[in-house]
Amino acid sequence: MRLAGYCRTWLPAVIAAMVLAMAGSILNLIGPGRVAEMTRLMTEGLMTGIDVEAVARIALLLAVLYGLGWLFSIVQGQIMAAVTQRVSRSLRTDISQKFDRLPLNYFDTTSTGNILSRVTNDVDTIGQTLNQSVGTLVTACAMFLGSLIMMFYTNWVMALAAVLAAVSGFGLMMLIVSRSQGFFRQQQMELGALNGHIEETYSGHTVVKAYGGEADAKEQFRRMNRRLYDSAWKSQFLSGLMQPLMGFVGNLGYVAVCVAGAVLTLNGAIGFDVIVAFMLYVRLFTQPLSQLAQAATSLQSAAAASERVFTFLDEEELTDESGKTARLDQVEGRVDFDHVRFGYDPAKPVIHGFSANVKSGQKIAIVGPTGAGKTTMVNLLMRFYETQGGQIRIDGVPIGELTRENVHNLFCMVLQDTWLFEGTIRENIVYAKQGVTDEQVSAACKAVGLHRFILSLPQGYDTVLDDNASLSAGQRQLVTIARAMVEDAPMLILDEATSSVDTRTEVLIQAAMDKLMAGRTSFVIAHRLSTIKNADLILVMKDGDIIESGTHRELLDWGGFYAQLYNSQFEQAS
Amino acid sequence: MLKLLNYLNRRDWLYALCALGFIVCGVWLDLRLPDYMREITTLVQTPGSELGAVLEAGSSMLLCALGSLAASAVVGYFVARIAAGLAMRLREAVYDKTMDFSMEELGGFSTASLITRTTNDVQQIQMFAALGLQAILKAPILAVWAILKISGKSWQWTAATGAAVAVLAAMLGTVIALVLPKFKNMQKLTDRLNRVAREHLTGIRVVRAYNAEGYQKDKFQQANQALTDTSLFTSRTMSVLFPGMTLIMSGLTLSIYWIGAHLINGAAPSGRLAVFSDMVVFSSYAMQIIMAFMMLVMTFIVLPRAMVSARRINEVLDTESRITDGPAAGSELFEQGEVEFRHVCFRYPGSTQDVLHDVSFTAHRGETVAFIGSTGSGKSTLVNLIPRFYDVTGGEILVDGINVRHYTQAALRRKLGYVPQRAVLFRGTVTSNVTYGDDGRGQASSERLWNALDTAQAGEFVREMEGKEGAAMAQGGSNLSGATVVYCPRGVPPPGDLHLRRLLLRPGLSDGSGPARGAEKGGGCRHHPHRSPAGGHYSGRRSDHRAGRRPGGGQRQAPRAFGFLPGLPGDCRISTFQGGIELWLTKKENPPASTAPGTARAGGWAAGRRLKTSGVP
Repeated sequence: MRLAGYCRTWLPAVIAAMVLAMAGSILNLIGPGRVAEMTRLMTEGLMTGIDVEAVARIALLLAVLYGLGWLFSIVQGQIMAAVTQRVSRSLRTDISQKFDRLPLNYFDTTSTGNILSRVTNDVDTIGQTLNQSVGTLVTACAMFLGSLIMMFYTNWVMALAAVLAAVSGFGLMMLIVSRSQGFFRQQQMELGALNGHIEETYSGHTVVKAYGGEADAKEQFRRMNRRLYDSAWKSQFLSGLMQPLMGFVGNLGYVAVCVAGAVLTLNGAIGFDVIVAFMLYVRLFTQPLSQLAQAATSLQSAAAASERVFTFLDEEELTDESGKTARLDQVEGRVDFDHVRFGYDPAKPVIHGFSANVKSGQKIAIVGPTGAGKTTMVNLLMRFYETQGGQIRIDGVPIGELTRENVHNLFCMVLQDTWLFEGTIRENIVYAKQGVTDEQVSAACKAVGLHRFILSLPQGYDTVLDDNASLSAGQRQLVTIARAMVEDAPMLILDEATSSVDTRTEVLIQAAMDKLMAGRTSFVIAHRLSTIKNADLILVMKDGDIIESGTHRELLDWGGFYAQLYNSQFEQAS
Repeated sequence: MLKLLNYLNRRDWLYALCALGFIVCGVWLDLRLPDYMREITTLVQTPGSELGAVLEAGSSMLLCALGSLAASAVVGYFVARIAAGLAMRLREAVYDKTMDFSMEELGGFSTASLITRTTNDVQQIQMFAALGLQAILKAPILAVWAILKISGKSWQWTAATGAAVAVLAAMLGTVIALVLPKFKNMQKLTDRLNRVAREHLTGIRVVRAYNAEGYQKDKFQQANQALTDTSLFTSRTMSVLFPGMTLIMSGLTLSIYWIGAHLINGAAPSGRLAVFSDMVVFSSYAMQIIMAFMMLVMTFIVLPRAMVSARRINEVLDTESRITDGPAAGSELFEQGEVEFRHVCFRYPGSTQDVLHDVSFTAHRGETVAFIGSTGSGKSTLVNLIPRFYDVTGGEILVDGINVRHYTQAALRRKLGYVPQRAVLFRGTVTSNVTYGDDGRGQASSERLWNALDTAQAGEFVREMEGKEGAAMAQGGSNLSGATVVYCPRGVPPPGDLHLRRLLLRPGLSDGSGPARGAEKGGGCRHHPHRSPAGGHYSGRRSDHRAGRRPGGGQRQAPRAFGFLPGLPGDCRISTFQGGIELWLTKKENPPASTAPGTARAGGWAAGRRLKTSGVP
């Protein structure tokens, strides 16, 4: 198991824990023998008077043994707790660092919830199993084998009786476990389905209500809930049987031992003390049996969880770039697209042969219908995805020869999706940039027209943005634009960055941006054609190709697709 | 917590009573076991006993054990039924309640929290009921009975048992006291870790574009370390429990034997055997008592979490929806289509400022009204008042001359179609999504369905889908992107289409929908009731379009649509609104040049104008 690799650092500790667990079990195993001896002393003394001193000696010995056993288990528990928590921590760290090494393609095709559940649920499952099961497993194995050996060593006939009784009971238990697992699976399934329904109708609450769908939704919920109930009580019932069953197996073993013991005692083969010892051995024998069964099931789920974790960790990573030496720090901002070809599915190209030459300091607008490949171009330019043919060059250097980090440093980017994290407004604007002064932050906010709004908030720039923060979609977008302004990279990408902002604010932002971007190359994707009228070059994309290019005026005069698009937005209704 | 007991029905109580009976039965059998053990012990001990007698006692004991097992099984059955039934009814109550909530209550809880309350919290209660019910019923019975059985045997033994229980209680008490606050904290830390990871994942493009990997890593490490530290503490503390319990149990047995040795020595020779077997029996009863206490204490470990869950559930159940049905529900109310705002004021709960202040206007049958204003000026808020997602805080809204408060919610909403900004699709089929809900006209015909799909420009791609209108729809329509475009990074246009469609089966309200669509598509769809996306303009001609092509015949003159657009008046082509009313909500600092007597005011954003265009361009 790969998990073992994670424990390697802690191997000495794990071995120590195992040794301690073993030692503890051995101490526990010595116990019954001593108790038996004590009982023998007492029964012998029933008529004549007990040798109190001898009893006291054994009792003291036992007390020491129990004390040591306790100490060992405690130390073992402490070690295992520390090891499992650290292993969980490094698993979580590795998963989160893997985020940064995976190609974007992975995130575009895998749901966030799915990845997240590996960080929390799966690692949790692994941790809990490690914590509880490893110690238990060692102890239980030692106890099981030890008591088996001790029993056969003491008296094989009685040992056989005890084993037979325990095994038959155990078989019964396994039968129930396998049955209840089916119901558990079903319960999880029903629960998942129900949760899906709940999530769907809660998050679409407005639509449900507006369309009078409450009655239907409730009815469907009732049906699913009913099905969940059926599997829930069954799995609950069956799993609840385990405990009493174990008790019964214990009693069965007890009776078997007593009867066998009675036969042997009557034959005079053994003394009563052996029976007492066996009564304790039986308990020591059946207990680990059930523990082993439980550990086995939890190990199963841990194996499934670690498989999910390791599948994720084994996902193909971005190519290593440590060998790349090319570096651009000061750029003029010339960007050349040279017959770029690309498809998210290589069999279905989205971009076929995109070529364009962007001069330093130009404002480039990319327009076109949905699905034309506008955002794909940004993805390629930022090296979120790699081209499958052709080249993109910045100042004549193919971006494939630069590190991704270097490419990212050359651009600041604002996306339509406003991404803010839970933190203060200031933290959101400064983000990862070092050495940003408060003046820079407020200057950026003034430029996007947020400054006054932020000051009107009770905590100003230190207002924490969380679920309750009352920022409108437009204001959120403004914060991300301010972030890009503070970032102050040589080139700029705006991918529908102002789509949620009203047009007047957009004009203000444009003005601020134009000032900021004076002499810097910028790429703007926009649906509102009015906002890109002043672009130096408008590239009209359709189905992955540039079908027209030129300035606003030129394109309108041309009367082609762009003109059509533009007019469709401003056409008279009559 | 106790309030939740109301959700047990009469059958549950009957079950509980039966369970109680069987528990008593089981305890009685459990406590009979040591008697048989003593009998066997004595038989084995006494020279010359018959094997038959041992066998007889042994089989009696086995029968007794079997009976105890059966009793436990029956108890388990009843308890499982009660627990699962309670969970089922609670879940349903919470769900029904939530579905009845208005936006106001929903906003107070947040959707995510309500989902957790309906699922996870109820699950917690179920687990507690399943584990706790048995323990709470059984432990006291077992403890008391066992104590009765052994009391009077020997005060020394009793004292030893008492001491063991005291030590056990002290140990468990200390551990719980140490661990409980940490447990509560741990939930928060897990949430935090989750949040940081989620932020990283959802913002992966931004993280990379800003080279912020290191920043995210530090943040994650902090959350990770905090969680690790806390869980290390709790699991270290908890790891003391089991060795401690083993020690106490072994120690108790040992002391009983040790004391027993002295007692036997002190007893008269004839009574020694009796004392000896008493000792054996006592030790097993003592174990039972310890077990009973342990069971109780374990329940108390689960209790706090269940209590937190119960409180969260009760918060939902105790919240009354502010929006209640009025008396008007008749189907004749479906016709018409006139909306009037009379001096409407509105402020969000907890806010000190009106969002809308003294808004008055009338939209007549067949007219189109557009709401224009800058971000945050209250356009969506105003529209949300018409279907009574919120109730006005002042003034009144009349639909077809009747105050919206006087309608049943169902009757009111049957009069309205509504398309929110965010596309909402449900798992099911295209048909189930398009004909979603109850519009009071029964099953939608195939003709109406396709009319609607075509009108929303969705007909084309739906025909291309496998299974056409019966094609399966994943939650949120996430399987649609594959059917139309290979990759669609921002919102998927097709769901927008589909869900626009819902609107078309009814007279409509449209709330800035269809934001992420290509301009070309917008061109095709422009004559349909939604905003042409590229420019953010609200293209009109809805009224006459509806009159002509309204799905389902068009015998009814379609009423109006409302909508807002993020664009400003400067960009708006007023002439596109044929015979429309336009209500502008604009910023106070910068009112439109030709401000008419202000009738629309939004707190702080006051004064706009109402403009009635004559109609025909």
